[in-house]
Amino acid sequence: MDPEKIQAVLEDLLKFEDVYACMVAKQGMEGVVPDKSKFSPKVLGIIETLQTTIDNEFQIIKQYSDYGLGEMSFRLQDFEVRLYVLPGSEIALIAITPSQANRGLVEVTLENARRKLIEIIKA
Amino acid sequence: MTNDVLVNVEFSEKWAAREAGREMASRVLAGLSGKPKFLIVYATIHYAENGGFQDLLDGIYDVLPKDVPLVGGTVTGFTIRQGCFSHGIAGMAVAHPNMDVSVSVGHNIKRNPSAAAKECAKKLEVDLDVSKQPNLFLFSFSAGTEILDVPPIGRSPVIRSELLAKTVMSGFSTSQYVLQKGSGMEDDLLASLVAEIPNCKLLHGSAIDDVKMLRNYQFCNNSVLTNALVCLGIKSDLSTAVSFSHGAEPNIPFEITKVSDNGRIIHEINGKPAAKELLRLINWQDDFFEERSFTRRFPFFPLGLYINGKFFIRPFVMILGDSIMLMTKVEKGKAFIARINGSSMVSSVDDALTASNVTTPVFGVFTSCAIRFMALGREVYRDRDVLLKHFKDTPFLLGYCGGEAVYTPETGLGYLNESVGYAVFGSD
Repeated sequence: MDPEKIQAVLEDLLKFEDVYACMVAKQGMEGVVPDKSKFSPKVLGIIETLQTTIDNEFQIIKQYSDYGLGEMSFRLQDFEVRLYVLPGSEIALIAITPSQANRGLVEVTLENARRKLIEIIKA
Repeated sequence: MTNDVLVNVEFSEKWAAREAGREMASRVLAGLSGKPKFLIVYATIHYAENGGFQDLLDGIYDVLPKDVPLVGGTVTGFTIRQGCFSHGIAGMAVAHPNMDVSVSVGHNIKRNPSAAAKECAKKLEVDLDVSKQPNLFLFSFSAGTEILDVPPIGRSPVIRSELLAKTVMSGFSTSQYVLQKGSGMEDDLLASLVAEIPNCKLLHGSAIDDVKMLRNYQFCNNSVLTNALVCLGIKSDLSTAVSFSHGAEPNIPFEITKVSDNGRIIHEINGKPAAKELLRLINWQDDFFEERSFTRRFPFFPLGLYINGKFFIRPFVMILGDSIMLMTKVEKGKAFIARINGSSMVSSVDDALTASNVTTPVFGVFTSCAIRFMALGREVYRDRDVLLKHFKDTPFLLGYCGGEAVYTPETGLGYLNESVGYAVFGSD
């Protein structure tokens, strides 16, 4: 796993208008996190909340990853938190998007990032 | 014949417009051993803020020989062998000795679509008149529908206040004619185009942005255009299968009983206010029209109707008080709420390509509705799986557009919404 390549994928994701924040993380929010100054200021509060609660989601990921859990998402205030589990791992691409975003476009954007991350992790 | 056809489809995901144009064109030319006869380009709207579309085209022509004609425009995304993309630029180049091409432009399509179509057709006819090749194919791309972002309404697809809705509806004609913001008028535009050039096969796409529908651009050679029709005319010895699919079927019948003068707004269904009657027909509560829900649900409840024996769908794109706006003209008469879902959207493409009888395609061009892209989300990769199944190593280019259409002399003009139109090239 090459953190610099992962960082590049995440920084590319942040160029999309509807990706307010993103990271590749596992339990404890450990992982690759882009420079937070590149996150939308709108979600800085949400990031703090997630840091204290996201372990619950990772517990679910851990329990279901062997059964093919692909993604989880939930709405928090005016935002959607999306977790895309990278296959065969307990690592997830986490992205925060506005709840009013065009869901289809956001999904394709995140799916492409997920595919790139899988390639990087495989290498 | 087809052994002489060289085709390559490439892309770039770079954000800076000039670099993206250069990278895409370099990749296209690197995979093509001859000089292309034309280049079709689909680009997402992001380049408007990352150098601009003129830079994008300049980047392409930094690499592409200046005399290679180019047509295309902005799309919501594209699907090619390499993947499905909501950002970037894709290009298809074709080289073939038995092929003559011409590109042309019609201007001010939203003010006078018929005049624009005639302007466009005239140059094509003159340029291609001398060609000895037997088969004429047109790829047209025009400015799609744009909506005004007017405070306090914004660009909401749902305006329930009758007063605001009437204000918006009364502003449509001014907006359309004076500002040239409004319907893409593709049904009128294309009817005029094929009336001028009836002996062709045609595939059409309409330019769009990221489905905000605020702006879109068309490209012809090195020019960035708005409110234009651009057209690539190809005369060659290649045969072309042109058709469409959508995956919808008629479900709940009703009568359209009152429409606006331009046919794009339905005021009454079954003799009752249209929006309320729509809710009753689909057995849904008023929260169907809550903006967030409506945006997600409307693709799955399109209006369906038969035209010349073929079933077409027209999504209800905007609720205006008790009226409903469509992207296309309809007439009073029998219609349906159609049944459609993500699975049927994708499988219909598979079915249509299977039925097309093109056993050895040499390349394929597709124009799909951006609403499908919205509705399918990451499942849009299933579109790509279907295309890979049929095309194998053969290149294809699919753009998600603001409207699509097909025409053949045998089937006539089919203006489409929420569908996929295709032109698959091969030998007879």
